[in-house]
Amino acid sequence: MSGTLELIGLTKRFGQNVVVDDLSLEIPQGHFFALLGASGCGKTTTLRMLAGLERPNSGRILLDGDDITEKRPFKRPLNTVFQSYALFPHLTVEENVAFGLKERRQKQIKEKVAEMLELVELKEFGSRKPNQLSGGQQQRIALARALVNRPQVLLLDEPLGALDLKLRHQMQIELKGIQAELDLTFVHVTHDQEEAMTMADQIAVMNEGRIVQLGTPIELYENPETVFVANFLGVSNLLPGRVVGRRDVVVEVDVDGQRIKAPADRNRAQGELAHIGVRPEKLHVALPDFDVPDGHNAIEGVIVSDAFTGVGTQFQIRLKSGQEVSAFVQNRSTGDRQAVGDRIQLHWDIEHTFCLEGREDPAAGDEARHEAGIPAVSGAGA
Amino acid sequence: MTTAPVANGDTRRRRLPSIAYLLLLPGMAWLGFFFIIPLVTLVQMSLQSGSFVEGYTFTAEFSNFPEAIGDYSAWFIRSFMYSGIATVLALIIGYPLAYTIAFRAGRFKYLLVTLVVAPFFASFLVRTIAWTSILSDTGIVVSVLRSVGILGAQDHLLATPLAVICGLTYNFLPFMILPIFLSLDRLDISMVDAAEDLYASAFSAFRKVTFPLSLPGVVAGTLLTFIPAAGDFINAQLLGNSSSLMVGNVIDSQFLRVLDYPTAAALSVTLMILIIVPVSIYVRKTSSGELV
Ligand SMILES: Nc1ncnc2c1ncn2[C@@H]1O[C@H](COP(=O)(O)OP(=O)(O)O)[C@@H](O)[C@H]1O
Ligand SMILES: [Mg+2]
Repeated sequence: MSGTLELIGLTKRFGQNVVVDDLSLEIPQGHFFALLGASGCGKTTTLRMLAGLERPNSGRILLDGDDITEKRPFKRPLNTVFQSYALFPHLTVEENVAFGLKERRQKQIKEKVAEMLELVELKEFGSRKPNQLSGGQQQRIALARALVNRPQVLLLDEPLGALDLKLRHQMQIELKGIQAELDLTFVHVTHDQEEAMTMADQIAVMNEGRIVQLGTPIELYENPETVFVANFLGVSNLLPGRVVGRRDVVVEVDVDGQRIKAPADRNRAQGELAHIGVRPEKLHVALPDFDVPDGHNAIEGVIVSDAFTGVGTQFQIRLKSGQEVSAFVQNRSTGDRQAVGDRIQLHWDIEHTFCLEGREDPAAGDEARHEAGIPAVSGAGA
Repeated sequence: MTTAPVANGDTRRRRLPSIAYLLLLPGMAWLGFFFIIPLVTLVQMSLQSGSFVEGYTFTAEFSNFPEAIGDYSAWFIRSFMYSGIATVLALIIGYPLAYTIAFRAGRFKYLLVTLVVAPFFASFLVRTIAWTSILSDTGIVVSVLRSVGILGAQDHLLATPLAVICGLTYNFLPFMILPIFLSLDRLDISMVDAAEDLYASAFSAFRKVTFPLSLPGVVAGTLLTFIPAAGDFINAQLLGNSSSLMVGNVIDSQFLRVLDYPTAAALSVTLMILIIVPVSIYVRKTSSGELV
């Protein structure tokens, strides 16, 4: 089994509009690879170039070392699950699934189709037309129609985008299961950061036709390299400050007169301006006179709102500068709880701090996340 | 809790039909006035006997039909042959044109659609008369064909069956193009992408996906071309000769010159039946499951 994809300097322009900009990636065999980005950032175009439905203006695509850039789509051992499924309405479910096999004059088409319909649990629906199926069932047929050809790489363009939330969660698990069972390379395009994080082995975050960061979900979440990624994947508290000291292991940043430290290997600030970042669930909420442990950063504030969610409490805290940050505190403490109006002290492990370039817009990526339908306050803790 | 919405739905369902009938009323009245009454009159007339001078009376004269058909079978056959050929030609010319407009014309798409219907700005008669000068012996077409030797010095285009077929094809071509264009324009282009992604060549994708999905347009186009062409008499009158006349010409002269109303009516009714029967078989065949 093979299926290692290499994208080298892919560029696609529509008129003056550079939609995919010098994009390079390596997608290893057997990986569940997610291409994550807000809508309009060029994900579909990238996928269509892989499928051969769009010609890049420059750059190359290699499959297991072979250059397939110029190959027509029907010559490529890749199959696509389209964004709107693109099932053939005039053919039955069986005929839809058999389409690729027939075109390649395969043997035992009936058996293979039956087997695939069994895999997606739609055995009884073979003689129906696609418009007689529900959205979730159509989605499975689209998957079966692609998988039955045993492609080396399966391309999925927002395959779950049209499903309701519950079905989407269920299909996430099923898709992941099928991918593991068949040991196929999946390239999964989505604008839903939660979906990418739960399913993918590796995520490439895209913005305006470029890859802004590549890594495992944990790497991206714990160590975002840009404000865009910090805001797009989960919720981040970003505090503007000035770099006042760079040492071997830590950088020191002045945030409204308070010295905040961050590990030097998580520092992305080039010049003086920086954004100190920390996730809400990493924050501890303590009394003002609390003795902050060694290796922690601390900052003072006042609680302006709290929302108890059962597993924990979501606090909004106003700092001296007037900026508000959110903190998520798990519901496992005993004794008094902090309440609105209380003066408190926030502290967190230096290791949980990241330091980003201060010239970036602190709201970058927010909009992208909102588009994906994830509100700013939930996210992290849940 | 559960009964309330059901009861609610029931009353709504009970009220709906009366409103629907009410809304249908103007359409029904229109149909009754302009279609049913003339049709009944025509059928009634086809069963009359007598003469123009003495007056025609209804006598259930069914023998009008075998007589009319027997006398004019050649005209019927010619009508169906000419209009059949014209329909096939219109399809061969019209489909690629509709395809090009729908998929390849880019921003000129709707301009081209407008050009397709542009001939309708001139009257049918004027357009057909224009063809008499295009195809005349002194016209450019004949002189070009003669100079390259396709036509001999004694050959003509005007006043031939070919001219009639050309006229029919030209006059009804927009009726072929428009429905095909509409069904192609509506076609989700990702269907074609999906076919190519599933190993179909461009030709195979056309044959298995694009064409079947455009069939409703093809069916509508062939009907809209064939039906009026089969009953047409202008083209045969202006572009044909005395041995290329169609049944429309016979009906025309029986009604307006011979003044034999029963024969004319019997011919009309026969033509209508001869068109309706194959057309309904055709529509049934093409719409039974194979179409979307
Ligand atoms: N065929 C095309 N012609 C012109 N512009 C296009 C075409 N396809 C996509 N675009 C533009 O390219 C950009 C990226 O599109 P797309 O790759 O579909 O984004 P995504 O899938 O990430 O939402 C969009 O601004 C879109 O308008
Ligand atoms: Mg897209």
